[in-house]
Amino acid sequence: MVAIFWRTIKDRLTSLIIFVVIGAFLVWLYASMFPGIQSQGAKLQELMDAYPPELMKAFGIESPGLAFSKFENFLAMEQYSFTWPILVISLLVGWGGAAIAGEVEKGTIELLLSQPISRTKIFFGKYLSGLFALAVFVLVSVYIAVPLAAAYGFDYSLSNYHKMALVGFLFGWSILSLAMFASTLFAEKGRVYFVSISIILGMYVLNLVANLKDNFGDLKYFSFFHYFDANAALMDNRVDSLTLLVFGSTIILFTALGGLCFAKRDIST
Amino acid sequence: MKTIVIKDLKKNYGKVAAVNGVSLEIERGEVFGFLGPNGAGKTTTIRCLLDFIRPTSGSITIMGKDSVSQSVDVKREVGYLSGDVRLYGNWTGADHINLVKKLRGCATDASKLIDRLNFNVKVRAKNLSSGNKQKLGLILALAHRPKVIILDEPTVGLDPLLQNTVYDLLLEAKKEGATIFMSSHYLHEVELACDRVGIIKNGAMVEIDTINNIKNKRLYKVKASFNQPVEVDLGETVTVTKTGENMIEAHVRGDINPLVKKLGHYDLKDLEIERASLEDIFMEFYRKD
Repeated sequence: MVAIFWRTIKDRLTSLIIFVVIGAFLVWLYASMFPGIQSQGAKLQELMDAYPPELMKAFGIESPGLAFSKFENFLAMEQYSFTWPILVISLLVGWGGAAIAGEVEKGTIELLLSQPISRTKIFFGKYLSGLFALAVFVLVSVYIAVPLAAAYGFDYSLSNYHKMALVGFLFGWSILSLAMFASTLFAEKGRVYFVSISIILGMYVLNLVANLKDNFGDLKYFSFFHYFDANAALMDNRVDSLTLLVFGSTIILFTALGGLCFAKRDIST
Repeated sequence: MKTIVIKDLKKNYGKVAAVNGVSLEIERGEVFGFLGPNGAGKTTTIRCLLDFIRPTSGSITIMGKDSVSQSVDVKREVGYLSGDVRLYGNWTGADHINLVKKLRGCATDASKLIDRLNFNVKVRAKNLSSGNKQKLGLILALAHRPKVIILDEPTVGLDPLLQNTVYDLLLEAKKEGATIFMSSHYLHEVELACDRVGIIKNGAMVEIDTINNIKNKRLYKVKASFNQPVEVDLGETVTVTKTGENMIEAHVRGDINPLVKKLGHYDLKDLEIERASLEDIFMEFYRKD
């Protein structure tokens, strides 16, 4: 299992580095923009006040004025509520799709299956490598904000970043579990990407609709994006227990299903 | 001692039976050739042996261990090579060898095979020719000196020189006591390497015997030409393979005398009778219902 773990990391190291660099670069970009944005805060707030409050809420901007008062608030709304989830989803759906379905598609799974190693170990070797990649990405792309805040002279609270890292890691772990499960069902990584992205997009739309229309408010409970609340984590230093429960259950369910499906399925390349 | 025992193996894909009741036993140190036309169930059987796919019913034991529930133990003793070996394009040969070494967790000696096959381990797999890919596949399959070697059309697309190297390696493994299960389309390869063969057709075994016994089965090729057009009834033991205005070609099973007597009633111009080749015999198996 350890050999498969390290080999997978090595194979996808370039991709991981690219994602980490983009994640860090975006935080640096927002840090460099923030002083200018903050000085124009009053004008920007006036502009944002012109938008319907439902629309702002739908896109996770519940108190626009707050966005320009603190660097953490600005990051929560601009980076961690929008671009950061896109990066995490792209990284982990790609990782999950290549892990099993990609190997079946290329036929290289035969090399692994013909060795004296159980399918469970193959699955978890790949799975843990994805988890390692997620951990590296979260650590760099979240905590890079701390030295940047210090360098630019912004106020910051380290515990808020801990909460952001926690909720981001759980969100990413859920995405990885879902993608790994899909990967055990299909023989082509393209299908894994399609199914996983469709589910995630569906959840995004559910959350959007729930925020726009009060009648459909309960739909938000079926969306990861409701539980992945960067504003609560980074602005309020808060992670709800329901978030922990939902992400925890999702991770356990899809990990168990993925491991079981891979152990049981026929593999024809 | 029986090394491989397959009992009433069935594998269905929905309503389609890919393998339908295959049973066979292979002795320790034996080289067993597994023959059949495309789609007969050879690869499905091999995939069941290696636990890539699970039987619908029936059982497989390799060295006394169940191929499904004791799959990991079984694979410690097995080396597998496919004719279409799939490799990681960006890895070098050394990367592949190192991974297999780590996964096997035992001493593997690939260096002798690397030297013997004159293989460059530093080249990435995507830059290897098909022959060199197959060399790497051989190294990965044989470096740990397996007691059971399973090969799925191992010499497809190889030049004759490399084919001979493969046969030499297999025969050396056999001398060391390895049991070899090999599917193939090449009859000369089967004749050269195998002690016994099994012929599979439509998912079921139609013959299991030694090469010599199969060759000794009385099958003849008969070519008769006549001085004028004739209509001949040659009986049930004769399979007509070709007819012309004044000639007929046929395969004859069993005693040749009744046919010769029948032909004697016609105005024969020429008559050729020869013992059928191994290829003709296999074609006969493939053809017959």
